[in-house]
Amino acid sequence: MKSDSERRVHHDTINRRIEQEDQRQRVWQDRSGERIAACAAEPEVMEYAYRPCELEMDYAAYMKFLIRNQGRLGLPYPFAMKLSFLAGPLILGKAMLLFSEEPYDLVGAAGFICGTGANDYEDRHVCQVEVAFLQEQHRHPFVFLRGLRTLLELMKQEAPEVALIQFWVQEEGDASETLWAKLLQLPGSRKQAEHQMTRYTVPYEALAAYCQRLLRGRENRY
Amino acid sequence: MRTQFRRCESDEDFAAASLFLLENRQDLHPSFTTMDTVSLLYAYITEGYLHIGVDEDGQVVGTAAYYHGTQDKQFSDKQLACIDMVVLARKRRGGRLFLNSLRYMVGAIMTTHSEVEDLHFAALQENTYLCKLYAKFSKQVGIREGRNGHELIFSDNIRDIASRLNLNHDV
Repeated sequence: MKSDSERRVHHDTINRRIEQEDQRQRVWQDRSGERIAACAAEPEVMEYAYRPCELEMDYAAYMKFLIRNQGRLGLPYPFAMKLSFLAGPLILGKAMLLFSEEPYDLVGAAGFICGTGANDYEDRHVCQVEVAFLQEQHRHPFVFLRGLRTLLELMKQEAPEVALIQFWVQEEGDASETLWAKLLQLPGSRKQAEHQMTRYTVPYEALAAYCQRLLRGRENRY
Repeated sequence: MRTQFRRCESDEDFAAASLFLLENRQDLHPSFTTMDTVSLLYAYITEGYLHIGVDEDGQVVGTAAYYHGTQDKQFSDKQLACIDMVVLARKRRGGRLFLNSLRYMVGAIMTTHSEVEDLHFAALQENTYLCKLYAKFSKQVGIREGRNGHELIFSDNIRDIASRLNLNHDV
């Protein structure tokens, strides 16, 4: 049973999404993409922990971390709407935290929702990434891919019927486009310009297999 | 230490107020959750007016919010404003900051919305500190069911409250 406050945000989220469905703009903010494509040097071996938000303390850590970095999330919206984007996964999907082990710090977070506002979140075969953020100094392909794999696993748990992943990118003509270009080569992928953002739609299985393939190559080296 | 109050307008201010309120959410109510806080912030930002108090080091030491008009009447009752929330940093409580915040908020409402005649304060019944304080400047006029229990509503003419706040320096 949802609390009143949750229902309130949920309700607002739905309204907002219905209003904005045509001109929706989301962000997949993770510049590590550019490094994946460029195959940058490997990181010094560093351990990371990937954890879904389950407890109240996780929710608090997730919100505080992203609010603290609100200017770097690539969400070109008024603050209230940013809040709504960040909170969405806590109500309509799942959020994930990423910790570095030494020192033990929260260094990244991401979240997705199941379903689309246009279909009242009943089309749960579509999962939408609402926010993904990794602190600059931790942006590396390995960290990114492990995070992506965890996020994909969480999607499967939340919505076993998941078939499509959607995310929104602010196109800036930077090197990260090479990652998006690679994703577009996956069978069934497409992109669509939506105002200053680009929406990417990628089949779940193809993305999971691609992520797994890249990770296998890397993990063997460690 | 001097505290500067201002209305949140930039994303940085909204973020600072949000972080402060999340850190201190248990002062709103011991069972106040992260999501409760986020939805409250969302309401203040979209429908009300959120303010912060900042000390000389730039640290947020308090946050407060009011509504112009009531949610029940879709904010059409413009002769009324309600101070819905005041939360101060623990280390700064017990001093004059609370009184100064109230003075600032009442002044801000009078300057921004000259049509306001009646000022309301809302406080959880179990928050005896706040209820006693509000009772010094205004009369209890009602009780409502808030998200965390009974809230007492205090009210009076805004100019009367303002003069009481200015006169009673040692409350």
